[in-house]
Amino acid sequence: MNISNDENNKDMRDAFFDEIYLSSLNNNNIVVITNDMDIYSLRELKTKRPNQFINVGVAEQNMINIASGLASMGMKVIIYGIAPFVVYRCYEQIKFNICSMNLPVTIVGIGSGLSFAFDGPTHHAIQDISVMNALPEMQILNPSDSDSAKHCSDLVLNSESPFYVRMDKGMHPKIHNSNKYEPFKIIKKFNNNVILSSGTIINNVIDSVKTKDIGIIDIISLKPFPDEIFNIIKDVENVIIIEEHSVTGGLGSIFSDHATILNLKFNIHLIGFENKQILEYGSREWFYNQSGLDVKSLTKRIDRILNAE
Amino acid sequence: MEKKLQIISNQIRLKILEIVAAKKIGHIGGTFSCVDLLVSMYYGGCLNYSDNNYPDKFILSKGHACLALYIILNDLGLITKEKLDSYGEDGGLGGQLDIGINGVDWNTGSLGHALGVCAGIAHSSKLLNKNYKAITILGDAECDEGSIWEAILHISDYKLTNLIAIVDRNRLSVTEVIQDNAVFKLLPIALPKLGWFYKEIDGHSFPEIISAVQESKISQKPSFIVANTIKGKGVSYMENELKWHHSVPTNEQLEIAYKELR
Repeated sequence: MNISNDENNKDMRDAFFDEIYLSSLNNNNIVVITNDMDIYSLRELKTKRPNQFINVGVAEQNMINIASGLASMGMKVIIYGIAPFVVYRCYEQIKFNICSMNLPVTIVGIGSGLSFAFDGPTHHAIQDISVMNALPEMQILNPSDSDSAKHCSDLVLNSESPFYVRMDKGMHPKIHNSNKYEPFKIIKKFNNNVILSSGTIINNVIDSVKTKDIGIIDIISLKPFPDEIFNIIKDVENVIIIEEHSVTGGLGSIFSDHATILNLKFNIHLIGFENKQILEYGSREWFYNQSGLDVKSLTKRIDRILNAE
Repeated sequence: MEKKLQIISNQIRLKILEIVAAKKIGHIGGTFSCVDLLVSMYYGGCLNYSDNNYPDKFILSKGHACLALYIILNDLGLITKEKLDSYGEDGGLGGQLDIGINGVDWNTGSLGHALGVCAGIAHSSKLLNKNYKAITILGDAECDEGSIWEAILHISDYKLTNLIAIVDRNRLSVTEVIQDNAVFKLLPIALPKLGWFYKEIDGHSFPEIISAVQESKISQKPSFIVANTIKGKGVSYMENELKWHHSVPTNEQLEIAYKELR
């Protein structure tokens, strides 16, 4: 897919935050808070609406607490920062002040998976879904392109729930073309076998199964998990989950939990990062290659599963 | 006024003792140390809690002193006697505050959060162009939390004036005397330089508490009041004794306490 030639495509962050910016100009109650991270779409908000944009500096615990205080007074608060720092560093604040108070704060974690690969293990977000999934009130969105990112902003602005939005950075192929938010989308039709994927890694999945008899579903809403999917895939034999996250606690775990609770039997195959520390430095593509998530490796792994029938 | 408030405080302390003795659970020491602060809030006019549109928001950050607040909320008609009687019972009022209780503005149980939350509430008053205050009573031990210091710096930077923090400085944590800790040497030096209204008072003197809060409200600055208090205040054998953080008195001890408070 050619990304750069599509005039309608844009950086996923801008697709999301352009909407937030436009809404905030018409709604004084929208407040954006960051831990000193720059977003192109929000530069004008700082100057045009200084009371609606707060840079707390590098102080994530305080960021969450301020957000919850604002939200308790009726403000719609959007937080953003590099994913691991707005998830792990302030986890207790999120659990206590946002979730136990059930306040409408949206945490946008920038840099899903290994988006910040070269910045090292502190910047990787491959356990974030797992820990956010443990918080009862938290809803989790994982858009896969600029179109789905844009519609995620509509959803969070019109909801009263806490949200975690796992946001990739940069330009990615546009795989959706929708006029509204959709919790999941069938990307490729299927018969006996289907892949569930989430986030921009889905592009590797698409490229690895072009000629195979296997479908693809993109999951945007990881929580609540769209259980209607089970009606659609009820006759499927193999379900392969491919995600840019640890296989412990990610989409695969969420899917398996729901299937178990609903007493549904599938051959479930989990493909993601192993539950171990990644301490090396390199590019995202190199890590994909090392972890069997590049197109070539995925092609082989999927073939192996399908041929084992 | 002062006499009236003192009578209310003594009545609340007696009620706390009765309830802790009956239910065999509670934090008497750190509750007694902040009773006079709470009485000043709810009966001394420091907290505007009854405004229909924009009441002040109050967070008792040291939520383990909740029993005093439960008794006050019951006295003010915000919770029923049945609700108060449920303290210590399964499914009833617990050892920390919960927003499901009428009159409670924030959940408690984890320390170091309230000042940052108050910063958000104070920021909202700017956006809504209203003059409600965010008021919190902090424990002195929790001032070690990094998040308290993140909040102090942020409140300075953003000049959040509708905010009052009062520290119940009873000088005893769960396990230690916190007399000369660096944090309480730093606060009086740092806060005035950071643009805060800072004042140390006798936390058992109603005139001092009330006038400090009034000064705070007209100071046009965020305010930090260190209220010097006595853990276990009001009962001689409990005062400044570590064990009364969460001990339950015997019958003989209760008799002595009742005599002293009546």
